[in-house]
Amino acid sequence: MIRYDLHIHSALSPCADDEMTIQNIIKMAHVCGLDWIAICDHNHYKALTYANKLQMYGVGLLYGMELTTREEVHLLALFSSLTALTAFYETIAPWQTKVLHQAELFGNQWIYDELDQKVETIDYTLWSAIDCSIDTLCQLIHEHHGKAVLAHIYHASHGVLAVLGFIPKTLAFDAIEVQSVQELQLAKLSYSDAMMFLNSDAHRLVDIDRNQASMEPELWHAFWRDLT
Amino acid sequence: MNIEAFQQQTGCEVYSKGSAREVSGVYISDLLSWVMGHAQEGQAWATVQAHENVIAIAKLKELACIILVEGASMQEEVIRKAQEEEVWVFATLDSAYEVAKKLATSL
Repeated sequence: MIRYDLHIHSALSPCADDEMTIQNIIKMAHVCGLDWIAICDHNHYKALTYANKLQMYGVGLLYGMELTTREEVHLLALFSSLTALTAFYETIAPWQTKVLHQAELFGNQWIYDELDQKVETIDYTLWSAIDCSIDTLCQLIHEHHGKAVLAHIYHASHGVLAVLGFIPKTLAFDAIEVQSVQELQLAKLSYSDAMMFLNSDAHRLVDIDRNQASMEPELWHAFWRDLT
Repeated sequence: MNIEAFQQQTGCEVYSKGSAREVSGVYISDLLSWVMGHAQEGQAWATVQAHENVIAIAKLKELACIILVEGASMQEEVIRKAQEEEVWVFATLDSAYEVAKKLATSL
């Protein structure tokens, strides 16, 4: 089985612990026995800049972002390389709403290098939405050869079901994400045809791999085939 | 109040028309699951949410109209969908509060 956790926040996300350096995340993933992880910060990619200088301990890394769409739905964009993620980010950056960040209210937005040195702070809030529709963002993710995953679909304020009432039939997403085994069972009843990921949405090191999710290798490879 | 009088009183721009109907009140929310659960038939729904799903929900709940407030933009294809489905869609620069205030005495 492939052991995975494809929704982990780094210290760049204001809501995540400051100890969530990329290095710490990878080491924790290794300790947990994960084969694949994705690091997805809110509306920014830059914490992943130094990831390719790190020892990976056999953990596969997908390069992601958790987008807040214009509708306020959370959407994971997952890519196989930093180059693809960066190119995608540059496409959407003009639609980013830039409101001054107040760290004392919302938390730090720090970027660490491969030595866990703090090298940069993003000074506008990463809470704000990207002023672009969910449909267009899915399309742009695909144009950059990424996968669009509807994040925590049962989340009460930022899941697609709460915000949009139901998953639009026309929406070109690739997978849905749930946060517990109970949600997974529920989702399988409602969306039997959809690819599903059971992720942690970890904001603290101890939350990484909290669902101990795994997947049949055939299913995993079929899903990611066109990305690598 | 009928929908034509409603539109005149609020001064909204008309994006899409439907059949003649009565407006019973105003409902304000942007969270569509909440609207599905709580809005009442005949209400005018003020929101900044412009995703295509608003059209389906307005039909489902038999709402009188959608009022897109604060200049929130709606994509052309969504407006076309509303026209096909004959769902009234209005647009205004006013906030939802201001729209409701204009109607407070007459609804």
